[in-house]
Amino acid sequence: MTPVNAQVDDWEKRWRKGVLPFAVLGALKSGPRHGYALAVAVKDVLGGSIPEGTLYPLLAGFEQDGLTSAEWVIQESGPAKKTYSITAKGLAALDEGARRWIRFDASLRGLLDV
Amino acid sequence: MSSWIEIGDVQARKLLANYFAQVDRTLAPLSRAEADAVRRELETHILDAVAGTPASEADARSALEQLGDPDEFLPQLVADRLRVRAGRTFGPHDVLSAILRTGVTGIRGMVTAIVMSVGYLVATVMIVLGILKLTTSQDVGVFRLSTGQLFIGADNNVDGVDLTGGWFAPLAIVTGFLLYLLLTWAYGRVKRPRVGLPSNPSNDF
Repeated sequence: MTPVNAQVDDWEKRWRKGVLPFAVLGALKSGPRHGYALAVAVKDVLGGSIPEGTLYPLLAGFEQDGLTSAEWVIQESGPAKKTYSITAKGLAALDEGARRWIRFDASLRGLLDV
Repeated sequence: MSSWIEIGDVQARKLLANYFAQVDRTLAPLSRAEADAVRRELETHILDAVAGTPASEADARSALEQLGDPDEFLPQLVADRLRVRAGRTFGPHDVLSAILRTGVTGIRGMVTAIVMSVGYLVATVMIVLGILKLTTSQDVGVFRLSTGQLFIGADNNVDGVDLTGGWFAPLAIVTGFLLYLLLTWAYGRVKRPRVGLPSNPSNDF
């Protein structure tokens, strides 16, 4: 039988993975960011169990879906950085996601009685 | 990359070189430009991660561990890029590469690859049957057997009425090509889960 903590660890990993796209879009709402800055911004969501590299397929997918745009920005020092911005479509998705999240959170709190 | 010169520690540079050799191997199916762009992005990630530290071997190791194993997080990205490319070029080589890469990105990827393979197999069989009809006309086609059942295919000893006659060849070839085009168009636009940790099937929910 799986110990309780191991079971909850598994749940938590799935939750984190599930909300990561939402968190990344949310982190872009305040302004353009490059990959590492995004990893820092969503560090608490990634936790220790999801590698930062997971962000890159996610960001590539956002670009393909038109939720973000990206450009290489020349830095004053150091190499150019690929910088991501949220698009109007991404903002709309984020707003809709936020509305649904609040409803979901309220439902879950009711069930958990916390 | 010249930026590694900024990393003074020899062991740290060696670690980074090994890691990015692995990155290059994983990105090999992509075009040079696509692979270079992804690599540059990961390199700047590491440089940012070690900025403000002595950039020792331990710092580099910690940054690489946090970034993760390239064989864990890059196959999904590679498969997505190849799939989109296949949907754009419709080239059989691009389609085959995309299917092979998609098949190793977790359970969903494997199922997608199997479904697409079956679809392409049907398309190929249709085209082959159409061509066979042109060379061995009486043994290939759509037949109503003496038992009343329909038979589509090729058989030397088929006992039935050929329902399509000479039309079978163009119909089969055109149907096969249309199926190929439709599958490839759909494959290039399929929505895949964007987050995955493919080494652990339990994550593929």
